[in-house]
Amino acid sequence: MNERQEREDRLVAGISHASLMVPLGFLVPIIIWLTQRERSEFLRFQALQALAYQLLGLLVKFVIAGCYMVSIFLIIPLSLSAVDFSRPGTFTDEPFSGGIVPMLFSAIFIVVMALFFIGGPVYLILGIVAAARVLKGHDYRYPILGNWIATWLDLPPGQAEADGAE
Amino acid sequence: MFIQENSWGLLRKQACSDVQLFDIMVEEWVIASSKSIRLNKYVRSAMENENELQITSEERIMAALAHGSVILYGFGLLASLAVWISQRGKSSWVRYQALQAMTYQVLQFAYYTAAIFISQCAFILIFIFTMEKAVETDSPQYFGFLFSFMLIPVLLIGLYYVVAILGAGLCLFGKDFRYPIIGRWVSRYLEPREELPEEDE
Repeated sequence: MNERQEREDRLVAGISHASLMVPLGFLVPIIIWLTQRERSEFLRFQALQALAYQLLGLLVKFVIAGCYMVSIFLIIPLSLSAVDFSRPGTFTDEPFSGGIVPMLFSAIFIVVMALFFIGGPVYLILGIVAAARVLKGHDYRYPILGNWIATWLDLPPGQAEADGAE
Repeated sequence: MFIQENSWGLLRKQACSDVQLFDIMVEEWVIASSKSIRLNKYVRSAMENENELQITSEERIMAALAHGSVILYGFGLLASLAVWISQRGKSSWVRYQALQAMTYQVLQFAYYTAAIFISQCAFILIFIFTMEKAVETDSPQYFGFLFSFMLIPVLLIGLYYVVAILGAGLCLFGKDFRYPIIGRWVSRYLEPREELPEEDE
């Protein structure tokens, strides 16, 4: 392979990593993997890795959105309301009469918000870091996911940053 | 001088077919408008090196699709990727244009964020520096002045689309278009300057 083509592959791998900034960007690594996996070993691994990372991110986003909806519309109103859970259909005078269980569930809301505000930027920045490393010529691997995919593809583990550098 | 140029142009037109004539008319219109409106230097540099390229109409249409797909708002990346995949083995010019368009469209939302952030900062700074005077004069026109700065992000986001559609048009007419910063970066990334062969024969 000539060098221009290698550099082009690197640029496209960087774009597939950076496509997590775009809505429905996970379609980009899917298409790259489907069409380019025969042509370039590098693109095959990097596109599959970007695809796995972005699909995982999408799954976590759905779970967080579900937890958010359930906690904000169901559990927190229940725990704050004055419903008497021991006798359905009746009300007590004091709030928080549901006891400890609804309040524990409402803690989910706080954890989910923390995940959203901390994990979101970390997810974005790790993707951009991966794009930058790939553009620099490293064979970047995401912390745990990368080696997992490498073993699945029968690539040797642990050579991530060693020989890919310029 | 002026008459000579005109007669030369007429001769050139008589020797051409209709399609070529249309091309020449468009070219003359672009040159005239760039002289009168003073389009930026990228357009002029694109027009200067057109003679080096031999570009077929299919390549032009593909490159224009890659650039013009920016109006699909996020899905444009898929269109320019499809252009890159299908034209990868065929034409280096379309390959370059598609890579350029992909890089531009991946950075779309980063550009939006930066545009909105910068314009909000400018809005707040202008508000802080002009507040006292506005309270002194107590004029309602001040709020018109202040909220006209809300148009800055709209104009910046419009500029994003205008540049890409200008690129699509220039590629459709066979010019070697480059985006302001990204184009030079992509071409230097693909063919780095220090790795060029230095022969001192």
